[in-house]
Amino acid sequence: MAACLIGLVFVSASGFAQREKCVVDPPELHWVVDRPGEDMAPVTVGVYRNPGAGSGAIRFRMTNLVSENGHVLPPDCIEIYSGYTDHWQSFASRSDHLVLLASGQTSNEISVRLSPSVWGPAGIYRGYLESANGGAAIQLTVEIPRRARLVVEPSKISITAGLGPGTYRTNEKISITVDANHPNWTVSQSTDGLKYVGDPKPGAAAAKLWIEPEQLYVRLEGDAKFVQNLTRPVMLQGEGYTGKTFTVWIECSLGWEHLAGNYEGAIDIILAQK
Amino acid sequence: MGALFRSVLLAGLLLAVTAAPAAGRELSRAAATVRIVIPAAQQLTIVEPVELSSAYPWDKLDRGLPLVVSDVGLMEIQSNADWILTAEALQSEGFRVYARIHNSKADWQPVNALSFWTGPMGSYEFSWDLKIEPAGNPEPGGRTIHLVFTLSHI
Repeated sequence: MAACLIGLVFVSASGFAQREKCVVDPPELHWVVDRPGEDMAPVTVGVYRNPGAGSGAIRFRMTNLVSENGHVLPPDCIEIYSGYTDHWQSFASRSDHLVLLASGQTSNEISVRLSPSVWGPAGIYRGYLESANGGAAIQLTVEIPRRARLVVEPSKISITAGLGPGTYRTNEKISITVDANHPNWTVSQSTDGLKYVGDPKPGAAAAKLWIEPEQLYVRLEGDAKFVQNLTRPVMLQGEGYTGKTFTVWIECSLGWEHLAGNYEGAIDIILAQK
Repeated sequence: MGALFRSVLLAGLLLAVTAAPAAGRELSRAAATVRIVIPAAQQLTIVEPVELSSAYPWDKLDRGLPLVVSDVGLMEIQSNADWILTAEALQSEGFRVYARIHNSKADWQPVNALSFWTGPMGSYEFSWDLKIEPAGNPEPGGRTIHLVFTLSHI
């Protein structure tokens, strides 16, 4: 019985050893993609046939690259120049195989690069360039850092309060776009109020020459309940991994105490990472 | 004991500072400039008409005294700019009509095309004191003189 077990172990071990027909150097590749469309320099990888491992072609395939959050970069995000064709090749699917060590060759130097289109939700993506018939694998790691970009348009908005005291809305909507690859961000809107522009008449010294933050509101398009006073910063939250565009109006509540004239101020919009 | 108290106080303050919620790291900042144009706006509300009913000749006229009535009518002025108020007296033929804002220390002003009252922006509520004198030989009898106002901004 013991002899049978030993034999089984021996057969298994020798079988495993037979599958390792080649080695790769380096066995791990790591990229950090700082921005979409970034050109990454190719990396040279050697594929070496183990002595006595036969002479057949060694084929490799790509797995998906999967992040800790379960996001996936498809196999075609990796491109390979094997030297056996005159162009860069990629893996159209997980079942696609490329010959990286031709039949009869003992070694080959390949170039591996990331497709410039690689971008996605922030995370560390891991996968393998693996050879079932060569018994070797290159561990691939693609790190996509968190990125968030703020675009606010237009930079100038106006309110015409033509009907006396009341609540008025800006003539223009403000578009706040956060181009982000993660949901961990906030956008705050705040103001110090709007100040009377110019010199009021001497008799207007007692007039209110300031529109206070508590008289200003942010109204969010598409959410009738979202009307928030600017006494405190008005916060908008990130959702999902593809960024978001918010469309808001600024509203102003005016009374008789506001001297006729022009008032100007800024709504500060700050993108912060949570 | 004092040193112990100070130590505890210091530790408490440090704890309070370090326990304060940290603001997120600022990544980017933008601003939208808001300009609000507020044109001059005014509202004149006659709560009670400014009118005076009287019979001519009135008592004490024989002593040369005018007819004076205090606290007539009630009006509201709301203006976000300095204002000017003009008045016209209707059905006042044969009389000179004078007016002043009730409880003011202003002089009587004749109510005619040249008279006006001014004020700074704001909300006001007031009534009027009226004074009537005969001009020439008015018809005897009863009459009601109405004051009509026009509000504008300076």
